[in-house]
Amino acid sequence: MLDHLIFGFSVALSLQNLFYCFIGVFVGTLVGVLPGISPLISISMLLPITFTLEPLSSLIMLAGIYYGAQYGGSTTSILLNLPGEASSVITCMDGYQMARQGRAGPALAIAAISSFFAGCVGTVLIGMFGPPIAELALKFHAAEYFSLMVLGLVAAAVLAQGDMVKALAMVVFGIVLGVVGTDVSSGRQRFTFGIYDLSDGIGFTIVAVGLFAVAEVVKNLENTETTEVFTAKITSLMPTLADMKASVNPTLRGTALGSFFGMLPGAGPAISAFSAYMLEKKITKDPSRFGQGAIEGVASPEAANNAHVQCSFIPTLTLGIPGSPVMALMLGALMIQGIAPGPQVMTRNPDLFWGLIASMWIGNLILVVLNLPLVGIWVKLLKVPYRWLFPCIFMFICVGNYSLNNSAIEIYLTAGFGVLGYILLKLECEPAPLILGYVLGPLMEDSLRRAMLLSRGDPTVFFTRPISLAFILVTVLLLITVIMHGLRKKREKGS
Amino acid sequence: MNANGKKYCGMAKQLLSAASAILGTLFLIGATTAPSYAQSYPDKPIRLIVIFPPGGGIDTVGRIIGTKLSETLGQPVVPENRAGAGGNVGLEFAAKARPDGYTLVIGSETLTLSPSLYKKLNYDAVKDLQPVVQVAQVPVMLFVRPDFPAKTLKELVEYAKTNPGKVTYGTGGVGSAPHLGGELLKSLAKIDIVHVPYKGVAPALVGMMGGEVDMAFLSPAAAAPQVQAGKARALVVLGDKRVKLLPDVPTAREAGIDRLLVPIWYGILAPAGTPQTIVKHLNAEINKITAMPDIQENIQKVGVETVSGSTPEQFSEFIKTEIAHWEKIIAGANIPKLD
Repeated sequence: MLDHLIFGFSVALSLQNLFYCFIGVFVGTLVGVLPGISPLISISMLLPITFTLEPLSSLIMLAGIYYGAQYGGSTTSILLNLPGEASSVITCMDGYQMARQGRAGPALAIAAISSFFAGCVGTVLIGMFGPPIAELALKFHAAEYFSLMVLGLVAAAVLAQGDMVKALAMVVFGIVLGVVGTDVSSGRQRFTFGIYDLSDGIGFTIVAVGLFAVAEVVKNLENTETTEVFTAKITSLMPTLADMKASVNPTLRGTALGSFFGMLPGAGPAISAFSAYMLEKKITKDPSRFGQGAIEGVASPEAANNAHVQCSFIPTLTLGIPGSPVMALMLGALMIQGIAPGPQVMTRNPDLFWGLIASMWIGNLILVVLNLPLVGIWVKLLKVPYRWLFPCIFMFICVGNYSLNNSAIEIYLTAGFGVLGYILLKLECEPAPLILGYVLGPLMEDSLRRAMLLSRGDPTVFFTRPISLAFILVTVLLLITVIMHGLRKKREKGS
Repeated sequence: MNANGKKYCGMAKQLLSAASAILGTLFLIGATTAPSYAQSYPDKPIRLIVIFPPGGGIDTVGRIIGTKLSETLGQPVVPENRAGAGGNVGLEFAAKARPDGYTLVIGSETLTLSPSLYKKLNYDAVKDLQPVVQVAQVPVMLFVRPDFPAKTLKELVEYAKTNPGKVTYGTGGVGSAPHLGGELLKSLAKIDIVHVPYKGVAPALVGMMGGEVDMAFLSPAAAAPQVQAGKARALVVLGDKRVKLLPDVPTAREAGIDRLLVPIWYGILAPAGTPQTIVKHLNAEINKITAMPDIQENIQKVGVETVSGSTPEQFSEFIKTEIAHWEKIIAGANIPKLD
């Protein structure tokens, strides 16, 4: 095991590979910072230039873009409430509040440090347990995925801030948005109203950027007297000792959750970040701090997110099965290099396997080194008067979302979601459960219908399979706790 | 010393070209598009619609050809995946795109199967698309997990007959060639097996390997590495020739079911009405590319075999014949129409 890793480092530390690792994480950071340019688009565009590179160098670079983008995505989330990736939606919730209180520096630093820690754990996990974990992940069938999604959605609703009924409504609304597009089982169009651009569904960045960033800008412009949003003095750039202490356990828990979900092909990093955040909120002594700039609310989801991204390389590298479209692209890159992706890559091309794993650790280190000095520059960005800042935000949003499909309808949709986001803000409805429903809804439907098809319409399949049953039981337990808590409160009020 | 110097020089060149390509790509991401004219074709990036999700055979072939085509045309050819409805979403998108030569589609057998499989299509496979050139072909194969009881096609038929309605097969989507392969086997062998559609080939492969479904109809490339690693078994080739990638697997005829033939083919098409000069230009350029030994070798690695030298007229004729052929077979085999 140790020999393998040392061998990997000896390969990854060559001048050429270090260079491509740096290029990868650098481009990835940029991609993550600019909303609307997803790692998928940038990797598929860079794919052709990797044909002339050595296989390992090209893989190192592409992987660097992927996890670099996760890093960059958190930067704009914290500074501008502008989520670049699905998983950074959660970082917005407390990270942005910290920025508004003048604590953007600590938030960015903690995000970088907890991500780095999670990335290291992920790297070690792949190196040590990759193959057996991948075999275990195959045991997750449609029924398990469905029950897991139900748990995720219910947890999101009951643990959200404020009104539970509103949160449930938001989840359901999100699911409805998620089913827009072409139905997998029949090939039929749903809720597309004959608009062709909707046949692939509504893009994630459109929904997230509209609901979070656009709505936030509109809300900020409401206060005509104060042109400065970030009124508080910027206290310090680096986190205090207390910040660090408060982040240790959330980072550990987030890493564990992210590693678990990352191993399952088909569960996106959003579910890791969401569940990590919800967990922190549940076990903290004072849940009201969450959403008001709690540092745990940044550390934990950031760690979960990054651990997830690292661990999602496990099914890809050890089984040759892509866990996401990005992974599928990387496998495509391997095939063109003449390397058959699959279980034999580890034995046939050990330099490739261990070199890539070592490079991921190096890449994470480069990201921290790259990002910590940048914190100061990013924070200065907030000193720009808001009347200059907000047109820039809008411009980036428009360019980014237009480039998704090269169609103007994406910009109209973003504007529409901005209006919706503002209305929801006024109604005090949290947009986060909506996003979760939107991301998980289609996955849940796919799993539900396949599970029912495989069981010939017998719904007991969700209770007879042990892993599925466990998820269902946790869901029920969660609901009971919340209902009991609610009833007790009511009784106290009554007496 | 000399060799060393050369090596470093080569490396520096490589780094430079990579760096400039990255910069170019970044500019391109934010670039806006200007109106275009056929005379100067191409003067802006061309998008190549790929009708299935990234990672599959058609996607990789599209990227290999797209990359080479970017070099010969001097403009980036950008693959764009538009998956859904067994590939019909992408084909419909291309059929309705502006016929200016800046939208191309790498289409597949979906084009020739769908007119007979679907009750209603939102595009006309013959009238709305202009064939440019066929690039590759390979048959569908049937894969099972290693511990599945049946070792041959004959054993599978027997097993399915003793367990009616219990054997399941996964495919990458409704109305795909592999789906048709399953339905064809069902009707030719008179067995009751259940179709389980997945959102793409990779999830279908995961489903088969994890035991969620018993078998999967897939392209040879999708599961060949798994077969070579002993994580899956290939039962039969749904074609009249054995596949170079997995030469030990018998054809359907060898296994006893003559008419179980389902080809996968890839070809480049453009929206109908695309100027003929552009179509001829693209046909010539792409035929040059598919005749290159390194491209043929790369495409071979993906698990399909290149087809080179077809004219737009020949490709068009091929499509029309295939449509008529499948219409007869699908009607004869009593395969129900899809919504």
